[in-house]
Amino acid sequence: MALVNKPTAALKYTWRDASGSIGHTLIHVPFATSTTLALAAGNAIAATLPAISGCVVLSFDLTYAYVQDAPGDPASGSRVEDKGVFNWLCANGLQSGFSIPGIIDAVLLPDGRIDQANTDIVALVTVVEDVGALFCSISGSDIVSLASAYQRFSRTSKRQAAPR
Amino acid sequence: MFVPICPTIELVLLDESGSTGSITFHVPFGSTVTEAAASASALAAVALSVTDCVLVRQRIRYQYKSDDTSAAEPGSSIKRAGVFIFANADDATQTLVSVPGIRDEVLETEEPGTGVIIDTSLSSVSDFISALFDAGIVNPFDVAIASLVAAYRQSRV
Repeated sequence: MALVNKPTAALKYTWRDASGSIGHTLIHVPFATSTTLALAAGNAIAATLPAISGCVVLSFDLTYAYVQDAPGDPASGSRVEDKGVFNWLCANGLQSGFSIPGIIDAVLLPDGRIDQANTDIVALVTVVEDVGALFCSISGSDIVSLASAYQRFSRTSKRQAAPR
Repeated sequence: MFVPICPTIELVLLDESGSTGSITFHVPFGSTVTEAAASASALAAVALSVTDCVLVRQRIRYQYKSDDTSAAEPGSSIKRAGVFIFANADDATQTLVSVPGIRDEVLETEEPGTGVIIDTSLSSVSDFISALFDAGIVNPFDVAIASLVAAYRQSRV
């Protein structure tokens, strides 16, 4: 069981036209292409686009994707809508967060907060806060401490709903 | 001008019902794929112990946002695409690149290709094609493009 990379990285441009509709251009580069080279190429291609299109390029992104070759079986009763929300205080005083789908009951307190004394939660917090500068906010500010953590149920989307 | 935002790591989890959800977080500017993948592995190692879902995919995404707030040109439509088809180096497959909102100015003005065929002799078009070759683009199976075989306007909905 391992994560296997796809053969290529995907470079995707997002466009908007006069009506506000969104479109995309998708191209691929070899997976081994460094981010420096691929992003420079992405910028070089972007520079040529206004001359051939009347739409505007809103953004472009470069994605390196991996797939689990032999995923295990999810636990009985697991639901991605049952999330653990973790909000982190950053060095710039703002907060950044993520949620973990399918949070297990064993790390929850009766009032719905995440039990920050739980050993698995302590390990999670240690990795996010303290192990080098692995993680940051969207603006690049380092993660300083856990501000809050609690259970939240998100709404089931049409796609996630059971067939009727 | 395009402005980078911090790279994103995404861990996609699968539950018993077949639905997926994800853990999405950021890693510092300048992180290489190897470094970002190591961060993703470190997060996965601790996050998977507090979820009853399983990890099925991982993505590392680098994003650039335009700081140009100008609107698209009047009449431009993403459905009016320029399609560039390349023969691949394996002589067996082709690669398609679609550009939404292709300009009328880059279409041929003489028959038989009037208003349909893209004029590849124009510098604006050849600059784009050269940029694709310079980027070393490949098809999704990592086969390099070799030559342009067709370029035309197409309605893509």
